[in-house]
Amino acid sequence: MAAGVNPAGELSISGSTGFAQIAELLRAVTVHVSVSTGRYGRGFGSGVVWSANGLVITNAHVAPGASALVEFQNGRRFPASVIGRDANHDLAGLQIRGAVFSPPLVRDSATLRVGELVIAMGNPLGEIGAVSAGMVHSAGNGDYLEADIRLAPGNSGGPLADSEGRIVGINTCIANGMGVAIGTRRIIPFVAQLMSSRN
Amino acid sequence: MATPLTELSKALADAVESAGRNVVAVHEGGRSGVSGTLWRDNIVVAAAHTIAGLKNVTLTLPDGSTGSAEFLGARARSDLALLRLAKPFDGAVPSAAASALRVGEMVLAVGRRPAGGLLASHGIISGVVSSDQPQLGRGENWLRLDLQPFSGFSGGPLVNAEGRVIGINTSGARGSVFTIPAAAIDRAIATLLAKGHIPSPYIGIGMQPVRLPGGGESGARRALLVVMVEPEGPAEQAGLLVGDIVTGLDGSGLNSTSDLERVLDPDSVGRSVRLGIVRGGKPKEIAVTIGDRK
Repeated sequence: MAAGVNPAGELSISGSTGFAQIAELLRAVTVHVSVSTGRYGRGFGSGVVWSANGLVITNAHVAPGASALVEFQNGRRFPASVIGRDANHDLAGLQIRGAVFSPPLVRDSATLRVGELVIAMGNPLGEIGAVSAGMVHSAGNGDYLEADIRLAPGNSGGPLADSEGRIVGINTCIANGMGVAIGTRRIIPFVAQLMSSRN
Repeated sequence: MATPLTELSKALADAVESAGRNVVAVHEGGRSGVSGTLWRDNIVVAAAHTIAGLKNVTLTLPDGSTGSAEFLGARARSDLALLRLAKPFDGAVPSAAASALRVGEMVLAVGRRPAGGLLASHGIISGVVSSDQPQLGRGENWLRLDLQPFSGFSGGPLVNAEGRVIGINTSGARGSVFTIPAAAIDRAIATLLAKGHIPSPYIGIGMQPVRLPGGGESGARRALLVVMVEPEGPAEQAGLLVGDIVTGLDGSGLNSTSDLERVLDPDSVGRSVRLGIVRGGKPKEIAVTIGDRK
């Protein structure tokens, strides 16, 4: 951990600000996605605001119906409509309107190396905006990533980011103790397809 | 943007990549393959329990090619198996200095999939298992890890944050993860190269703990009743009989079978041990030469 004085003359401890800074970046784009599941109450997960015009990416299993409710961590709520789905890769696109959103930086998951640090944000077990950190366990070709990271139900649909806060995937499930995410290598074409079908 | 976090991230990925140059996948081990570590001189180290009974295995090598390796021997009690890779391989593992290891140190477990990709998980050294444990050689401390085990991790190396190899990983009871230290591996390989095989020291008796009358305030004295003597084994040759009660070892007391197992370290073949026994109510001493179970 490196302590130093920043240009503004304030003391900073850069080692401890690393994860906190990334959490701040992710907080702005990570949303709570909930759906009414009829007589069984509400289901929920997480999502990532992908574009300035309100495209939100989540898992298909988080938003099984035609609509959902998207809530930011600052409390702003938006009704969302499901505009596309790729059930094979467990991806869904939601549309929210009424504001200009700030999209995240995205990195091609195929460039990740095994051993790199990764950070997840989501709403595990209903805990809003929880952060966990871990390591890339297996990279493959970037379509799916496995991470040695602690996830729980409610992380589904939330972002997995690299050590600079760039999104590398969407957390999807837990298998053999490892977190499994759909990589941006798979998400980027899905987003392109949603954009083209919308235009 | 170089922050301490990005630098740490890169250092960890570099450590995995560097250790990965010596990590192979063993196709036949486990459900979907296990790992092995190319140690030196074409010798691949694996966890003995993962390849028990196999004479030849297929490996995925660090360069992605396939190779085969022949089983050379195992130190079953320390879960260590040695194999010889058929193709030549250059490059010994970069070993970490054993003395530098500390509880709490960050470590990585590295493995390889049969399809070729590297696998890693991270954790810390949570403790040292004393070399008093009977399965360990003298001065060979196993490490207990707080680390997520993954499918196929056994036989892969435990590496420090610099990518230097501390030992190879294997599983313990209830999902625990242990590391067989590099010192034990170096020793087994040296023995193998010198003797052509890995000795399996034994004396050839089965024993049952018993209580002796006349214990002090702390309770009854304990000893070991001989219930089986292996035909033609070292104990039979020394004259030990079923019914003998073993009360001492090399002049000191004996409480449990692990006291005896402790002297059967990998270098003990040919050494003589003095067993104090009681036969027909009379104390007696018998010298047994530790044998090699081939």
